[in-house]
Amino acid sequence: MKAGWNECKQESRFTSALPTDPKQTLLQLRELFGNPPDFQSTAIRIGSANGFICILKTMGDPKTMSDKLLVPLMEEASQGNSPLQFPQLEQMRQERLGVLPFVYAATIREAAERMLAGDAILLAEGVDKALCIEIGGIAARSIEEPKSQRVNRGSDDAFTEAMDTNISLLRRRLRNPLLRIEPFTAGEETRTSISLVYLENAAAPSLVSEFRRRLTAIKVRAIYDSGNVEELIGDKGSWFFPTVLDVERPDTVASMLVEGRCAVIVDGSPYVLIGPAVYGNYFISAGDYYFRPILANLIRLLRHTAFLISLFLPAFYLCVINYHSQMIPTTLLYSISGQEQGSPFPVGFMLIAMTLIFEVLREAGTRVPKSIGQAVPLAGAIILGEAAVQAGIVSNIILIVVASTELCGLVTPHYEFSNTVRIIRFGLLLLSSVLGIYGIFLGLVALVIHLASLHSFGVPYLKPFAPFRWRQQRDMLVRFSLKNEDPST
Amino acid sequence: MIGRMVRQMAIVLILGMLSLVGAGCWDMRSANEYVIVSSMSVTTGDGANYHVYLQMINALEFASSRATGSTPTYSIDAEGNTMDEAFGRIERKTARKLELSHMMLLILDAKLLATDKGLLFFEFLESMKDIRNDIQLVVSHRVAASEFSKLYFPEIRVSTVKLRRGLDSVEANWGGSPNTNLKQFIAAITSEGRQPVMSSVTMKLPSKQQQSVDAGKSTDSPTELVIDGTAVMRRAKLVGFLNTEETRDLLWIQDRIKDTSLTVQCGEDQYAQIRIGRSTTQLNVDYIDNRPKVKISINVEGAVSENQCESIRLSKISGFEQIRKLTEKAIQSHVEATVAKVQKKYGVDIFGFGEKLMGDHYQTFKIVKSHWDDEFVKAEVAVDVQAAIMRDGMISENLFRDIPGQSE
Repeated sequence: MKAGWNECKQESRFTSALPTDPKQTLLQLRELFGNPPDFQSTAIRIGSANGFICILKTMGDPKTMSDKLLVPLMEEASQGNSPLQFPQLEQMRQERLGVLPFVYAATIREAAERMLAGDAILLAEGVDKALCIEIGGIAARSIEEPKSQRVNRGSDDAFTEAMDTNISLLRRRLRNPLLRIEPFTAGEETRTSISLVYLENAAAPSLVSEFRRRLTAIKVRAIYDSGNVEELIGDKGSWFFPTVLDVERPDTVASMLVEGRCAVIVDGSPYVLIGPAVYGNYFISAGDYYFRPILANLIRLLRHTAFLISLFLPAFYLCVINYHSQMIPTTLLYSISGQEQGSPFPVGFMLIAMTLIFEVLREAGTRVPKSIGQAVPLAGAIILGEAAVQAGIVSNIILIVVASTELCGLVTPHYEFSNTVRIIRFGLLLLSSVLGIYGIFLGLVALVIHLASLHSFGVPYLKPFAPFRWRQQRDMLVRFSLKNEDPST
Repeated sequence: MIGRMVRQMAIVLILGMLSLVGAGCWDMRSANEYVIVSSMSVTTGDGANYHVYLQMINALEFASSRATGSTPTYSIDAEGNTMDEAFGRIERKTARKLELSHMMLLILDAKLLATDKGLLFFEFLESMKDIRNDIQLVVSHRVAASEFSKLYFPEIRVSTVKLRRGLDSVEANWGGSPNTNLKQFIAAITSEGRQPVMSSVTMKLPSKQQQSVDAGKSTDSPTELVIDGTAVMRRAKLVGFLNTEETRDLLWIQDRIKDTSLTVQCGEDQYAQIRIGRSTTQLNVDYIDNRPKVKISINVEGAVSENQCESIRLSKISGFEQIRKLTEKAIQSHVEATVAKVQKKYGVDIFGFGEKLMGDHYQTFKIVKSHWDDEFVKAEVAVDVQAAIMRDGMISENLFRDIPGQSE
């Protein structure tokens, strides 16, 4: 296998100073890229000298380039053939190109990297530097509504794949010069750009440096999504629980930044990572802050309850039916027992089977082509459930348990947390089928111990409940109402 | 360091293994493997100590999608020298395990309680772990205990559930039943200063018709369940019964009246009805001059719900005063009569005067506790009633005063 870009960019032919002959530089660049069809170059006149301009047309828009670059340069062009000096080029840039973002590349390597970032490269005869002008303007998805973190009231824009758009969405919400953005690059082959964003007066320096350390420590061949970065910078030791929040809503990120957290934007991913993230964060939706506090509090409580129901309901039902029938209210037992009479499979088997079928439906729902829409999983669920009950394979009550469990699992505003529930739920179901309610408590103890030992960027995962912080309770389980701050303090 | 970790791991492993051994699949009873028992009736057997009737739930009838209109309950019986033997025989008949934890009612036949086998029976109840200790104990009066588990009522299809709800309602709304669950019964039977009681239930016009699901097709149900008062016990033996009015006096003394309704006579064939909404009783027991002195102070609060009496005008304060006096008198004479009846006829302290004496004057009680029931018979009982009649019904003036030609 040939050496990757990361290794060969150290070679002397890429690191030595550029030749003053633009033709030669152009050749070297073309050779490096392998003369691809999207490598566009043309000879132009820069002032009195000959030169070349080149661009990857898939990374920078050629029309923008001609508007911004070629037209102003052509006006300046004059007859003659005298090589330029660097100060002349710089003067011309200042006069003609004004505020266009630029950088001077001194080596082939730098020029190539700038081209990959979407810059146009201006090579003038007699100058041993390449003027790189930012063009951009490549096709990108426009700003759309959030897909998974929707709210009833509140802003309706979501992050996109383009880093600049994402930063702009943030800046629009935090018009504050202290908003710090630090660039990183990761992925040896992909060279993905990553930005660390924080509010300098809010974020603790130790947290920021921890983020810096983890981001610079990334050593992988490729990064395609913030999911990859999340895996790399997240705290180790978590079995199922996410320790980094992924958010697609700019308003949520902005509020987290104000609270003193750090955000990581990965180019190419519409999900921004936020750390530290603790248990309670996964139950907070941006919409909570746009409603009256009393309603928001009730809904937040509902989410916590639904989460617990979704975690324990199947396991609890199973163990109560199989081991602790005395715990069921008498008349309910009559009905349950009636439904279970003569059913061919044990309750435990049917519960696990039905839960698995629901999981398959859910997976099918994600995979199904958009043209078929939601019809397939929905029809599948209704038809399968009805038919199974009609055929006497499953009792109605099992269907109720499984369906309400799945529904409750989807209430959390952060989708990845509902995936966490899915895994743990199965573990609890197995435990309860073997050990009864004792098994559930065993599982609960293991879960609490695990949660209590988890950390996210040095913050205990159960904070502010354990360790208990009275002052931080005002926005975790409940949300206190917003008040004007007292100017005297 | 590593040694400690290994030891910790070992401890976790051992605990895990123990947990697997200590509880597990073999306790499992799938819902279609057992049959739910709703009540148990016990009487003396012909060939063995006990004859047990269990009322079972036909659970299919309780799942709306699978009900076929057949009987929701059925009764299976067996004899046995011990209760467990009888259960074993019943299990062989049903071919399924019995789910006893949901039994609501234990109906004891008066015949059984007349013998000495009752005591052994209570021993079984205490030691049986499947039976909840809040199961209610009742005595069947005048009919065989087994009859109760064979009935069908369309509104509450399980007859013993109907009976249990009836008991709860009669105690809470009228005070006519001294509901006693297993725990309370055991507490009373082992107490030195109190004798146990149980609710007594009976049936009006037992009929074959009420034993069929077709009973739901007729608007006239011949058989009625009747909650008819108290069964008075001397330890595990039945000595007699009290009717519902007397039962209310018993509950009044024990401060268990929540809500009741009192009819007082105020003239020839004329009555007033008092709805009692609040009642507290204070009991004072002392031992003076070789006999117990019992003082019962009852405080009631109520309203007039009906007034037929022409002589009492509720538009005036004096009318209320009259009603108040009548109420106090009525309660006082009733309670006194009931205590006297129990003293004379049965000679057992079902009221718990001995327990009160034990609590207040233990040294005195120690001397008399060996023959407390004899002392109870000698007791001098004084009842003091304070009534407060707060309101009357919607109208304060009798309607018949306004009817032309009726007023004097």
